[in-house]
Amino acid sequence: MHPDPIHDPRCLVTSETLFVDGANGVCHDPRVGDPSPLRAIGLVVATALVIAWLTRERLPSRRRAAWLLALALGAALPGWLALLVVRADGPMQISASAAETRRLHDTLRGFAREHGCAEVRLDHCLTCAPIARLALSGLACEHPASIELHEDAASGPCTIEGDTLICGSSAR
Amino acid sequence: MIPMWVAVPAIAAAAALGLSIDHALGRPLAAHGPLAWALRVALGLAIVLALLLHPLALVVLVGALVLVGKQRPSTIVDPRAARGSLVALGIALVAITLRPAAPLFWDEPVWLAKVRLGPLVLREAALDPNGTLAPRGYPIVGSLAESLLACGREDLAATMAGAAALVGLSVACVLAVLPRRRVLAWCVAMLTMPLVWIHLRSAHLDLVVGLLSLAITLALSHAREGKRGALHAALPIAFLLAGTKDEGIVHVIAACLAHGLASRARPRDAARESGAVLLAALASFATFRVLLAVHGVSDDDHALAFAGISHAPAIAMELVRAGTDIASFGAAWPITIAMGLFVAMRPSMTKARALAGTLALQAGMLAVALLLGTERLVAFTLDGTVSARLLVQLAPTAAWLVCEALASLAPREVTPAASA
Repeated sequence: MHPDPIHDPRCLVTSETLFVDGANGVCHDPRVGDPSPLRAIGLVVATALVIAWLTRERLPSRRRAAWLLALALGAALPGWLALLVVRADGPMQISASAAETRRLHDTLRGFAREHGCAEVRLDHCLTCAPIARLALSGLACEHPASIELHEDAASGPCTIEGDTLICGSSAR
Repeated sequence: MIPMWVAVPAIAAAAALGLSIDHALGRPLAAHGPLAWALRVALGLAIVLALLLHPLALVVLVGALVLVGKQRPSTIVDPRAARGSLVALGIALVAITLRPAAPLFWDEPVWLAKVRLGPLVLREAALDPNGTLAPRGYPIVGSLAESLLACGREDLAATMAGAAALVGLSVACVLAVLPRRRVLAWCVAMLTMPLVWIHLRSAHLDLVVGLLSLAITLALSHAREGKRGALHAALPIAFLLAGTKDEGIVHVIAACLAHGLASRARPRDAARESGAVLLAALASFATFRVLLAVHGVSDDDHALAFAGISHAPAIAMELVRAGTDIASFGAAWPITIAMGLFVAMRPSMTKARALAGTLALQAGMLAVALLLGTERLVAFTLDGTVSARLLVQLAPTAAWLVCEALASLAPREVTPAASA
């Protein structure tokens, strides 16, 4: 459990983890750890407490609404904190994160357009497949050029060898 | 920054087409005040998309409009109180626009790759059994809309503008049908779910589905109150929703079922209203499914395979995990479930009860769909890439349920005449 998103190592602090899981949750990496039964108990208890709170007839409705609002906003605070200062798409980091995918995309599309189209060979590059799909979308030809994408293709250098573009660790 | 101005010509053209149809129908959309323009854009867009998909889809959509018929508008929203909605839309558009024009999340390039093809090539590729379009067999109306909004341009910034414009249009459609007095409350309720903010600023379609789903629910609620023009708003939205993702038709069916249950005093009207909305939804959903079958293309991810049944406990735990992910949703889901159960026990809270029914049906039907799905869908679900997105689809309606339930709790003003 990592209740504090600031120190949560799973909180999508790199552009690569952001790319893989950024839309699946603010912080939690679903691939790390199994869901705990405690979550279900917590959900039932929290729901029951809110119902009990709502059924207190004597409480003025405005105060009830204010308390609920405070609870909802307070609970959302860790997520907003993560969005603003921890995640790789926070205001301070978003440009750098986008620059990596944009650079790889532009390199692949530029090369493929120059040769009419291209075929991609992936070598342990997790984030490359969707970017390559986007970069090569709509391009078709008789004799496609080759693109090799290695592990760190998004951040590493790219070189051209004949009809082949190589990006990542082996592109030296 | 996303160059949203790319979408202006397409939006203007769709608005002009929508306006002419609205006029032909007696201007029913005018009932929604200044934001009726969003509904006219949706109407114009739906007509063009139906034509692109297949002329039969256009015939069915027009048939649904004819079924509803000509109507003079009644006042659904007070045009004088529209300032709050316009401010909310402005803030949403700024948030959508202020991000780099480059994909940041895995599925963004997947969707944008379709948009980049352009509307005609995309349709051809989606129906090509030997084609390389991925994922295969997925509905294309959302991507077609984004491509139209990008004016068919293929550069990355323009395709992202098309996607962002569809999100903006969905926000505008909800704000057009949302009762003005509670716009601020709904916006705050949405912001208590931080993951919604991420989807607002992405090219993912889950928030689009959720927003359009709420718009239909609200439009049917207005129709229950006898407000003319509400149903005309629901039809193009139903077409867009059911054609954007496979989950869309589930949202529409659930909203129509809940509408029928909440309208037991007027069953014939409810049947006609639900029928028209379902017809508009089927114009996109069923037409595309028939086209897939005719061309021999299978939707492998969303076929009926019952693979989830043997994994039911794990899927349930995964849904609980996503719902209790504090960083993503705060305490929104415990509060929503509590509110839903609370209003379900209060027969006097009719509007909130109908809303709770809609949300429960949508959530239940989506959960059942996970159980009936393929091994691949189960694998995605247990991998954590499905449940949070389904909750994003339900988030706009959940936020509105909380607002409606809290409003129902407020003491009614008692006029001297009423008390006498």
